Amino acid sequence: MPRALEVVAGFATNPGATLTTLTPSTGQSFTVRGTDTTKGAWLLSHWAFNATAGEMRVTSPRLHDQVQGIRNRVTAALTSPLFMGTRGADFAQRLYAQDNITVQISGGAAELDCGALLIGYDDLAGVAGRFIDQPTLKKNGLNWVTVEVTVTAVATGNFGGAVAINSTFDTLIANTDYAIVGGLTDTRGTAVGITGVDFGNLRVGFPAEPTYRNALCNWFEMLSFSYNAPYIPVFNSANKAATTIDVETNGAGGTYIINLNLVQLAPGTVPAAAGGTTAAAQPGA
Amino acid sequence: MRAEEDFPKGHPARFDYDPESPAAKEWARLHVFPRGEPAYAPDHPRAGADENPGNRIEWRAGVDPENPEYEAFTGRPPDQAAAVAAHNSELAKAAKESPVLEPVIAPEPPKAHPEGEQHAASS
Repeated sequence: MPRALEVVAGFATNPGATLTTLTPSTGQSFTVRGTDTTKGAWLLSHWAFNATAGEMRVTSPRLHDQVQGIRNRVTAALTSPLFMGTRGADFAQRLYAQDNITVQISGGAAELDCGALLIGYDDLAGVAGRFIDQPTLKKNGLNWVTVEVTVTAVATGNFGGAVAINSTFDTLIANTDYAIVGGLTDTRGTAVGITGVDFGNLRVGFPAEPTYRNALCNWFEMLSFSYNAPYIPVFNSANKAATTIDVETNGAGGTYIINLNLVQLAPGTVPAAAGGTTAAAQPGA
Repeated sequence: MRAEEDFPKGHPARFDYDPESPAAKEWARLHVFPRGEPAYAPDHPRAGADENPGNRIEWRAGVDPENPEYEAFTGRPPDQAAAVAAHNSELAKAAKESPVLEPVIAPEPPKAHPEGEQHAASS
């Protein structure tokens, strides 16, 4: 099944108390991908990064309502998921292809305030990444290994500073599949993005929050576990030079030391993207 | 028979309340805790052991409570943190936004690496 996962981030400039629609980062959109509304698309998590406390609101006529929809208080300086089952259980919000999600934020009057959505696609025509579920990881995982990179973010509210996954230490074994179980950052930002051909050139990612190391170190594994679906990205080291890590943050920019927690997988255990890994059930089912 | 007093000496509700009186100060010492309820009551054997027990300290994430002026998570002193921030600001000017890639279907992974060679690091 052509599965895909994408983190979409955006920013609002000096929103103050006004709930301001986020401007998507360059090359991104809050319009749900795809053309077939029968194919499952899921809002798996969303979060915000505010220097000043505010509100984040996600609305659409296709969601519960377009008045307040999913509205949450955003506490200052804490890039915390506003929902997502890092404890092992959660409910995915169904999205529909081509639906234009309205994402708004309030916050400070002299800052960029940022937000991000994490969207999962069950079957996205023309795009497919390689993902596995937790049982597959447990069955085929061989060794833990970490990669560490340094990313210098841009201060424009866009994703930037992309570096290759092997830019600091090039120790991955040739032609080998690795599952990205989760990651860590030492500096707060909006989102850490990982992009590569193995993910269909979409950006998978997690909140850039240094506090929640226990939750983010296995973010993708918990996503998969919570929603009972394959959301653990897998890349092959043959593509390491083109598998990049970048960061989206506010106007302060910053230098981020990012660690990704990888698990080396047994050879030949993860099929190509089109084949996919069967899920026990789909999110929300 | 001893008369029952409505409020003890030093209590703010007592008719002769004087906040400067020794009785009022003693009452406040025993009952007023602007920094929160202590783990042990005043005059408890453990109460005096620590003027600033840990349960009164606000533990903010990444911040050393003994050195709250240090930068969160890095522990850098303020001058060093400011210097690093300035350096990062300069780096950010040179940083490039990430390129936008065309979504694709992930390619077939290369032929699996032989088991016996799996520990040979790639070059």
